This record gives sequence, structure tokens and C-alpha cells, in this order.
Amino acid sequence: MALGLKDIGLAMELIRGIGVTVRHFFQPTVTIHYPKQRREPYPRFRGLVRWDKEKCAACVLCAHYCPVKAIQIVTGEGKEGQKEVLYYQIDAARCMYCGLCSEICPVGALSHSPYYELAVYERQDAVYAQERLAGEPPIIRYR
Amino acid sequence: MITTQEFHVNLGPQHPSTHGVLKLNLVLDGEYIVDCEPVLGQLHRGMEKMAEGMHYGQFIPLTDRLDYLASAANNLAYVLAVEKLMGVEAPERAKYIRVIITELQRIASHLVAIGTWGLDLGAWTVMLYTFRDREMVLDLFEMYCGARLTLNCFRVGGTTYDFPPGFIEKLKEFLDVFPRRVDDYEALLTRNPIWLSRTKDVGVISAEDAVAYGLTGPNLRASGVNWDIRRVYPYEIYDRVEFDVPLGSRGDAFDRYMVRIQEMRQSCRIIKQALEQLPPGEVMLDLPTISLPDKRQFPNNFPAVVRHFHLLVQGYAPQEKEIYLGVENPKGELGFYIVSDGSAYPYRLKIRAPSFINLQILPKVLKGALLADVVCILASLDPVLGEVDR
Amino acid sequence: MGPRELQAELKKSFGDLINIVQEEPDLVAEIPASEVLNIAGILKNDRRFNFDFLVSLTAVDRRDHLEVVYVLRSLKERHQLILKVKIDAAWPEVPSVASVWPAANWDEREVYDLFGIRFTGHPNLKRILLPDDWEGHPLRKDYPVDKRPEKVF
Repeated sequence: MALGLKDIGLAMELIRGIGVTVRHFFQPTVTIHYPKQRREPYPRFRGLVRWDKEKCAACVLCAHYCPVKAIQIVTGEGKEGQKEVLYYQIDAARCMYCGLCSEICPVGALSHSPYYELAVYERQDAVYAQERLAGEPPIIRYR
Repeated sequence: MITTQEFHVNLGPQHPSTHGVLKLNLVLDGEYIVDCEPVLGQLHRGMEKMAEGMHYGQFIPLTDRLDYLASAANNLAYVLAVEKLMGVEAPERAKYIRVIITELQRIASHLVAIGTWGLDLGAWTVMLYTFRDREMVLDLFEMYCGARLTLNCFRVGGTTYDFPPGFIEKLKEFLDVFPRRVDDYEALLTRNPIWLSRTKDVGVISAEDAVAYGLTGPNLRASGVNWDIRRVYPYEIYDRVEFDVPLGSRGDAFDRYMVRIQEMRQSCRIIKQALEQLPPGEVMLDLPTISLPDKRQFPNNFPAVVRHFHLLVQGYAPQEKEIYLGVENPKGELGFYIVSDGSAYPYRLKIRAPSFINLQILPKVLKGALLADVVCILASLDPVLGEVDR
Repeated sequence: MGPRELQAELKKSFGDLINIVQEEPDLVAEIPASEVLNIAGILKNDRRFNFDFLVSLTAVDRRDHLEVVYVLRSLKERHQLILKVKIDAAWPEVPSVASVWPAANWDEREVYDLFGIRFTGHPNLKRILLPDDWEGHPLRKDYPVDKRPEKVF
């Protein structure tokens, strides 16, 4: 079977494709070895929502406006008769990280942390309430 | 004695090449398809019903979940529709920012379309390269608004954020690199004999059929119909930038591929021009009826605090009217038909999802096609099931 | 054709059958349910209108009656029209336009699914998004948002 002009043309195209692969072979890698290496998120990254008890004015606007109702607040009267938050929780499993709550909070009590490794085994572990709303969330590794 | 009978095959909903949870009931005669019935609704979330119980501003993050590969484009469509209903217009700089972000989103969406299509037909390499370059776009998004996939970055009357420092340099770097990357995909696919034999004359859609079945976007233009909403009813700044509308001639899968490749180059061109023209100024309209007041004046300026709470608790109410607005999304025309009854909640919100209508022609195109081409034809129509099922 | 000329042309062709209900920002016209197929055929085939593209077909529940809404467009003349048909909520039936615009096929199935409006003459009228044995039509105003099916699918 003799090779025709067409076959040579086809082979050329395949070689051109392989050429792209070979050229990229000598370029620096773009991937990172994830669990060992981690990329720093950008400053505006919208990760797990954090709540600052000191700043909160107990206005309940976040719970009201959240489109998926991931925030629960119970407010009551403090020692000096002022309005105070008794209980605050964010359900990270419901939260869709849209950023509306931190955008509308009038006193800046809500902010986005750079934490994104939020997988949990039990559903209730995804509920961040009270003291769990400060500091780093625990990273749960596979068992 | 030899008897023949038709053979039924279920493709999906868990098949990787259906690009989501689409199920196709195929009836085969040998290798050829006699009939096809798509089964939809496995991702139905009742978005339109949910919208009726939400303020206009609250629904924006949910539009991200329609076509999740092009969330900023969905945001833009919804925000423009509400702006039309309210009769307001975003400031100039916001318009440019919106166009730059949505064109980046168009590039990202087409990269997934071509990459996964190559993957479906056995061209692994293309998928790895397109996803690498999509990663650059997603990094830009993360820098701009903090999210990578579901951006939720546009608001009625402007955008949430201005470009952060360093963003424009990074974007320019991407624009320098990207056209060469598109050349690479073309070197891998456009004249590759295997790719050509899998896509040429496969799934031909005539121009008449494309119009009759309501196809929009690259699928319509691949059939040779010159219809791009950015050109015909220019919104935002599309009347101020130069771009070509790539057209196909035969309406086969290869033309749909070529249209997408060329659209990515045109998107690059649009972003370059928009960057040159980018004016300084505000990114959010300062209109007491819709925009939130500046938070920095809060504890002291009591009227601003009252306005802030009023806008978020009561919402803003447009006049009693109904509008339809469609914009050119990567997948086709995404339209919002909104009926307002004068309250802060939409009375009825209908989403005209491009993927849903584009998928409608599938049974007609598949009739008589080979079973092996189903995957190719489906990938060439590029449906996203989040949008089909809503 | 601009919206004003289109409005004048519609009045000239259909007279009292067509009723303009909104001019700004989109032209909205209302027609009786019995004339849907007739008017749709004219709108599509008449050279002056040339509405060859059905953008969207949907419905609105107005509590005392239902409305079927057609968003039409002409790719050649580049004009757009929203057409509405009022129908009785007790007997929701309207002729199907799938024979005029094939694009209406799935949209009509969706409206049947979510509103319970029957389209007479539709080639394959069955539910499209919800399971076949779903009870009720979710986009009706009397269907509660938080209603969950008793049967688990």
C-alpha cells in the first residue's frame, strides 16, 4: 500500500498536535500538590462566614435577608436592658457563600474568612454556632 | 429464523457525557437511532416559584445556579431586566466592568464546552489545556469578587466591587497569553483528521430548523443565521466596541465548534477595547430608592441607617408592568420575563433558559444518526442542566 | 418596524380583536383565546409582521383567571411583541401553537406541568419537569411554597 499525498497531510496534522504537547512538556507546571501545598486565596475570597460578637448590634438583618436562611439568631435583653444576641449560628451546609450578609451588615460584624476546607462527616458538624464562630475551623481528614 | 426488533437504550442520567443529569431514552435500529426522548427535571429546584417569595435583590445569587458555568452572565441578564423594570441605568464604569467580567465568563464557558466535548470524543489533551486556561479566568474572578464559580457580583444599579489593585495587569497578562492558547487548541483539533471525521456533517441543523425551534447563541449562528443580541439590540457598551459575529455555513457540529473558537477570540477583542475605554468613576448608582447608603457614615447619620434598613426589609417596588429582556449568554439568549404587581416581590418571574430551548431540537437531529454520534451532537449543543431544569 | 408602527399595523389588521394593554417599555397586546391559532398564523406568515421566532411561552396566574404569554420576535424586521391570552381558571384550555412555531412544544409542556393549562392539539402533552404522578401545579398561586410531596421519589 503506497502512501498518498493525503496520508502525508493527515500525518502532518497529527504531528502538529503532538508538537503542542511536546512544547508544553518543557514549560513549568501549573498544578500544585494539593494537600501538601496550598494556594493562598485572594484577599476578597468568600470563605466560611465569621461572626464578631463584640461588633454585632443584634439587628437581625442578616438572618432576615439571607436568601437560603442559613443564619439563626436569638436575641434577648442584656444585663443593662440593651438588646443582645443570646444565640447565633450559621449553617455552613445551607450557606451558599453569596456574600450578601457581610455586604449588608451595618456594623461590619460579619466577614468572610479564607477557610474553604469545610467537608464534614456529620451534618451537625457543619453548623457553626457561638464559640465555633471564632478562630480556625477544624479541617477534617478522611478516616 | 432471524428476527429483528428495536432496541431501547437509556443514556444517562449518570453518564459522564450527558453533561449533567440528562436522561435520553433512545430507540435503536441496529446502530441507528429511530427515536429519542429526553427526560428532564432531575435538577428541578423550582426557581421561578422561589423568586415569587424573594425581594428583587435577594434573587441575584440564585441566578448563579442557572447556568453555573456562566454565572456572571446570568447575573447580568437578571440585573438588566430589573433595571429595565425600575427604569434605571448603571453608571458608565459599572457597565464596562460588567462587560469585561461577562466576556471573561463567555471565554470560561466556551473553554468548558470545547474541553469536555473533546473529552467525550477521546481527545483528552484539549480538556487539560482548556481547564488550565479556565483556571486563569477563575483566578481573575476570585481576585475580583472572591468567588470562582458562583460570582454574585452584579447588583441592580451597578456592581458590588471595583477592580482591585493588580487586577488589570493580571487581566492584560491573560489577554496576551490567551490568543496563543486558542491557537494551541486549534492546532490540536481544527484540522485533526479524527476530530474532523467525528464532527463534520454530524448533527446538521438547517437555518430554517434552527429558527423554527428557537435555537439561540452559537448553535443558531453555526447554522448561518446572523443573530447576536449584542449586535442587534445592543445593551451595556456593546454599541461602542468593535467585534465580528462569527457565523457557520453548514450547521454541523464542526461549525458549532468553530463558532465557539472564534467567539473566544472576539471576546478577547471586546475586553481589550473595553479596558482601553474604561472610564473612572463610581461603580454603583447613588439613587436613594435602590442603592444602599455608604456604610462608613453609619453610626452618626441616622437617616442613612433608616434607609439601609428600609431598603433591605421592605425592598424596592417597581411600577406595575411587565417586561421581557434577553441578553446574549454563552449558551444562547437568556431572557427574564418579569411581571410586577407594584410590590417588592416579583409577581411572576419566567426564566427563558437557552439550554432548555436548544435541547428541544435534539430528537429531531438525532433521528437517523449513529449511536456513537449522540455524545458528539449533545456536546455540540452544549446544554447545562442547571439551566434546563431550573 | 418600530413599536409605534407595529402597534398601528396591528390595530389596522386585527381591529377590535387585539387590545394594546401596555406600550412602554415593551409592547403588550391581548387577544381572545378563540383566535389564538388564527392570529398566530397571520403574525408568522404575513410579510408585514413576520414573527418567525417564538422567544418564550409562559403563563401567569392572576388568581381569578390565567394568562398565557407569548414573546414573539421577527429576526428580519427586528421587532418584538408580547402577546397575551386570558383564559378561565376553571376550564384552562387554549389551542396549541406548536404547529405554527415548533419551539412552543416544550414550553407548552412546561406550562401544562407547572400551571395545568391544557393545550389542545399539542403533539405530546405530558409533564416535563416534574414526575408524571405529581399532584398539583406548583406555579399556581394557591400552591404553597413549602408543600412537600407525601411520596418520596
